[in-house]
Amino acid sequence: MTIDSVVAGTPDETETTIALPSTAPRQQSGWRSFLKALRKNVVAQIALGILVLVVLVGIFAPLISPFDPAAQDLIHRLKPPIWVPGALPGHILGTDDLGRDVLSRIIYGTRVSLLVGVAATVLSGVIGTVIGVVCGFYRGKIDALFMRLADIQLAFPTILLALVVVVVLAPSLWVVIVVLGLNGWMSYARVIRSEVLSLRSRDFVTAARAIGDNDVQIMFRHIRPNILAPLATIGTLQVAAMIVAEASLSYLGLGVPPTIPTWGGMLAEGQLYIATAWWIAVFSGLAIVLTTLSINVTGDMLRDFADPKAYR
Amino acid sequence: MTETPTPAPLLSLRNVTKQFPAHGGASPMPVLAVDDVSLDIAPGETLGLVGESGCGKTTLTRVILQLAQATSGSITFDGRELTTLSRRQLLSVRRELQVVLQDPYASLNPRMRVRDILAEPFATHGLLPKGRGRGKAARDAVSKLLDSVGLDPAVQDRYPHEFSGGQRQRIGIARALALEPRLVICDEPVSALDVSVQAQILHLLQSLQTDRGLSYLFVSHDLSVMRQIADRIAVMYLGQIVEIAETEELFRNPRHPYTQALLSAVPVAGHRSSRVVLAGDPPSPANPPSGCRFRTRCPLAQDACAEARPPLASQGTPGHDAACFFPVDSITELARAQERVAPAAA
Repeated sequence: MTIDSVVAGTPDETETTIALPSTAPRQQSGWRSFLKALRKNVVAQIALGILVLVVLVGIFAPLISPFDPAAQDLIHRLKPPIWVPGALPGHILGTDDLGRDVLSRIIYGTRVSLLVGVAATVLSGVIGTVIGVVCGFYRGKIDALFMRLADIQLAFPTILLALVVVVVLAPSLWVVIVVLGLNGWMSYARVIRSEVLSLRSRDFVTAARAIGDNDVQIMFRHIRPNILAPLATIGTLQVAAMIVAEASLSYLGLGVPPTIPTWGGMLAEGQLYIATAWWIAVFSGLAIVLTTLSINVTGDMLRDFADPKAYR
Repeated sequence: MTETPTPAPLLSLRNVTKQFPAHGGASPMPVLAVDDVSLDIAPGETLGLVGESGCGKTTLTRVILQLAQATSGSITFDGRELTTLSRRQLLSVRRELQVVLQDPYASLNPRMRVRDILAEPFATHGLLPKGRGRGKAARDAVSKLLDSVGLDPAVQDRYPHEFSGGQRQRIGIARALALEPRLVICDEPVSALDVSVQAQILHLLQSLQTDRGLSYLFVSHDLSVMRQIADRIAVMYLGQIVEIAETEELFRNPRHPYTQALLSAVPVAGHRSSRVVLAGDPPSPANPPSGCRFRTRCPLAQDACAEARPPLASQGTPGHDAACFFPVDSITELARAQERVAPAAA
């Protein structure tokens, strides 16, 4: 806390000088106030903790996974988690239908999920933001064109489109990323466009024009900082949605090639054995739920934090 | 005032018209927001512009600032025609022609620190040194600016929401002054503020004017504020200037019935004067009345008023023009006429 640094400028003797009331909080460094905001929010602490854990697991997968995720052991197939009778020692979360270690596969699946989620989000975010800003700022024909395009694409079932493209192009990690990325720009474009529409007629933009700023300067200095909060919110939600979309594609067998372990793929395989070997589907599903939930909660907190007024 | 040879005006408008294209509706009509306005502002002068909401005051300021393109007419600033300038040429004019906006809560970007808000004019006009010294130069320039508007330079690391309305308006004024302009257009700079703060801001604007020899185009609907700050006042009604005179002359001897009605609405302490309460709302600028724009609400309107638009004609005192065929001499006379036309409810 920096209460002692709160004291505003000393009152001046000149009549016109105004000292700010000493109750006004001094602007803290971003990191400090972030921690302060986090301390008040237990749910966000847990979510952020899980998220950090997931990221670390993804990065250090080869170091922490107990087994080779691709190593088959057909004799010990469908063994339950170790706290269930009949478990095979060492395989903490049991084995799948080919005798592969479930925990190791979930750990490696983290990498795919995070990579696809983040990369597709960034791709769609960049495309959507550029289109949204241009449409909102210039309006007219460009706006009409891209918004109708967005309507069309929103009316089209995303997963179907993705399926067709993946089938045509042959499944690979990068095809999945690009397909999902090209499918997610509409929500950014629409939200950012409406935001920019209201921003461009605000007085501070008028003042900037009077100063002589050109369009690019106005976009970067005045529009950009004001769309970061909605971007963060959509972005985090989108990461979660992309992870689920990738899982859906893999579940349908058309995502990432089956040689790469993914949560969605495991869910699909586990479904066949749900009655006898529930652990395959349950743990991979749990990984998806926990990760996306944590991302959403963290996104909410980030949004609140990114709004300078929300915490004062 | 004295009749010294008038210096060349700093800003000069000639027959400026701004028409907004028709938009939707059953029978869309173009909106004539500013209609044939001619004005001069001398160096060091404060010209007040009064009129009710929607009369085109703000549109006129935007047209002068070249934020909206005039439909026709000429705007010269310091001898240069603004309406035909290229973007690049306009940039150099903007250094001398700045604006203070009405709402201090909307005119400052909520996500920028005060320092960034005030350093922006310098950055846009390339006035900051490149490389190492840039941050320090910006800091120093911003400190000087804040000091000149009576704020502690230490506040530059804060965000706008940490300030009160009056303090924000000081920041807005500081931003307008950053480029050391010669003419500042004040678009209702105090109407969003408390009365006590209004006085402080007006005082600040006046002392800045004396220190820097600024000219102001001061837009307001508040006549008491006008009387305090303006050297001359132009009264606007439905896009047209209906009367223009030096401040005291206008208050003492208003000629146009609209001006008289406006002035009669100003409360005067300990003095009960006859008031003229105009009936109805101003007509739509999309469909203005023929002839005199004011005739639909004027108790003295005659047939001639519907036929031709009355030109701005001298009213005896130099510099006092009014656009009325039948100007009245006293407010009581107008009040009596109003009573006849529309007997007051009270």
